[in-house]
Amino acid sequence: MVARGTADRLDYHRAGARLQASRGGGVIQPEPGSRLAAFGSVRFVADRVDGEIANRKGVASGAVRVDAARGDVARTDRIYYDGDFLRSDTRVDAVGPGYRVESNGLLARTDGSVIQLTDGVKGKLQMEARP
Amino acid sequence: MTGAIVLLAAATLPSGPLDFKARDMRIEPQERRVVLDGDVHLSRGDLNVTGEHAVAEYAKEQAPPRRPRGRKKEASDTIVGGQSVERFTVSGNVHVQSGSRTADGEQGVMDVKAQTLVLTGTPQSPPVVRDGSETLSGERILLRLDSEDVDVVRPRVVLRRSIAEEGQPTPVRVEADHLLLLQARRLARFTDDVVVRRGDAVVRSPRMEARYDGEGQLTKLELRGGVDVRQGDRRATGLNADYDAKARTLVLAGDPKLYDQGDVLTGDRIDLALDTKEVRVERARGRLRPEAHKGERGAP
Repeated sequence: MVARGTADRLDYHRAGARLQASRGGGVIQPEPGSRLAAFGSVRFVADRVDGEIANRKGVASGAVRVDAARGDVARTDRIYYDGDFLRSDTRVDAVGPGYRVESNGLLARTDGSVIQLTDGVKGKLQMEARP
Repeated sequence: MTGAIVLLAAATLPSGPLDFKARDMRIEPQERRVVLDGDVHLSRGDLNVTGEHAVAEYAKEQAPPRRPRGRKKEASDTIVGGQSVERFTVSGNVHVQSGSRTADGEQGVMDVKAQTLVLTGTPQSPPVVRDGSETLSGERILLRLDSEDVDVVRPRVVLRRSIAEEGQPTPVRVEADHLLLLQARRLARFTDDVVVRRGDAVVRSPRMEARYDGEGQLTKLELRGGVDVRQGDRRATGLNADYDAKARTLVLAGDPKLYDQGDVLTGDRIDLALDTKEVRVERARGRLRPEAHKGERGAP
């Protein structure tokens, strides 16, 4: 996986490889063949991003939006990154190919193998058109 | 009753997206499916399906139709992104509701393209369709969501409201290998090993059609292909039989024969009154043994 990004402002503390970004965004390019590859490249933006690169930890907060090239778009107020997982304990609104869903939480593996919307979900699933 | 069940099938799946609620949702993009867990509730139009677990399987992606030049992308296109569910499997205490009618089973498979909903259960807890006090169960119940027909494997039906009887009606129970309910023709077609039980009367035949009036009341049962009737010591056979639900008489035709404690009667037609046990034979011939009936109530 390759990630790159931009921000209005970035504070980087070399000790501990900690970073704080305001109005930050990035693009994740999954490895071909990985489970995440089904989504294509994934873009994200947030008002604030705090991370510890060395420890593979971070939190993005404030109007967090994730866009996958496949067409999935998720919005939430706060999302945590902890190594192999992305987690949110705030409301998540997601729209994607064939679905629209609201939930009160999110748990996803960063390799894309599991994307779970939790703590009460509701939404719509598109049904196949009649022949 | 079957008429009422015919009406149940009016759960025609309306077009448009399906609303859902659940505790958790898992998206598995590579498997092209979405898994819903915990208090799953699906609804579309007046069709509501609940269960403990559901799997939505997505159709393979198709190339989107070409949009006429200049036409903007519609809101619905952005919602669904061009992928759609082709099959839903709901399991665990599946409950289907459409208006006042309900159906229950252990598993329900909704095939969106075929417009069918198949309910299955276990031998101990078979799938059931209910409309008020009326019930229909079987090994497998297929509800056609477009034509409103119902296809049942090994049906077990209790025709409670089918007979216009005063006071406490005698239920008519029907079993067969197969039942097809044809809503438009107000017809229930039972085939293979049909057994009809009413009180102490048991009627067997390979085929039977039940006809209903506009209010879902049974008017007639037509048994074809060989009929065998047993009621106490009495036995009757014929090629065909018609049961008039209002008169509560069974009319045997096609070399009909009646056997009753040594009596053997045949004729052009035999009418059996199931309640009074009276018999009328047209152009009768046969052998009667009055001594066999001595001591019976009403005997001289």
